[in-house]
Amino acid sequence: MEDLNKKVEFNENAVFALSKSKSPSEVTLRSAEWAVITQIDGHKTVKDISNLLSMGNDEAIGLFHELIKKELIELQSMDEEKMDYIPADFFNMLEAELTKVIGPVAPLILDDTIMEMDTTKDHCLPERIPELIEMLSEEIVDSEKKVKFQQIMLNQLKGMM
Amino acid sequence: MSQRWLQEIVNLDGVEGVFIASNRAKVIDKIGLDLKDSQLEALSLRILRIIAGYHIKSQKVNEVEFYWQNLYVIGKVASEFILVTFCKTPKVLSLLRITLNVTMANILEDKKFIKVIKDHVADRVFSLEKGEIDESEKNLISKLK
Repeated sequence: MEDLNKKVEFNENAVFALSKSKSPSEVTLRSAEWAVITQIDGHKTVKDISNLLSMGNDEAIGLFHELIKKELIELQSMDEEKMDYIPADFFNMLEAELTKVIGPVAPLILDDTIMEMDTTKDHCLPERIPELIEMLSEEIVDSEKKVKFQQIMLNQLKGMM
Repeated sequence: MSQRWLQEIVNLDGVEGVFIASNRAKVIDKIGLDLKDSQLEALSLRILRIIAGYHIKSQKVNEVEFYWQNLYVIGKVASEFILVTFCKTPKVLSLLRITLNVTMANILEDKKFIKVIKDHVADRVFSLEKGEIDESEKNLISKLK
């Protein structure tokens, strides 16, 4: 019982499923709560549902908290994978391209730059790629090679965004 | 001619418009801008003056960035023209700077564009780049009178 009362922390990427132990028909629900219940399918995230119901994220999160309190829904997953971090393949390609331009020091420069950006290869968000490319470009002395590198990376970015 | 290059810049989030001006501040091409050519020319002239100021101090400047009428302005300078971009926010600055660098390189490789821009650079009859006036040039000057 203690576990049930424990506050569930979740974000907009959380996915909920209907509780197997309690049915919505057993409790009184507000219309907004019903609307949320009808959308919960074990796949849609809180954000998906708030978009579908044209709610603000805060409002949706509040409703989810109410439904958790009423034991009608259970947190299924809160996958950080939904955060869409930069895939490892991208860093491999980036390292290869940088190596062509500045030589074998490229992996070290790349690691240093990522560290300087206060992030890691596993948790770097796609919107930070241009910043990373710009910082790496600063390490290329030859201006022609710098533009060439940026050109290649820009083409890659177009494919990603 | 240079529209496809300029379009790539305008396609970026937050970019309001972009234009190319000769190094005599004449507008050559523009896209996505609701401003009169005279305004753009005045702005180009200001950018060129800033660049010239640095040049006098023997400092090489390729880019100037400043706020103008609530817009963030980036002026990139090549030897024969300037590329000026207006953005609502400098939020996408890194991506924009990379795109501008690549666009500049593409424009400089566009022979048709370079031919057009060279016609705007200066009246070549009057340009004396060597710093000294040779006999043929003296003849040319004498004909002007």
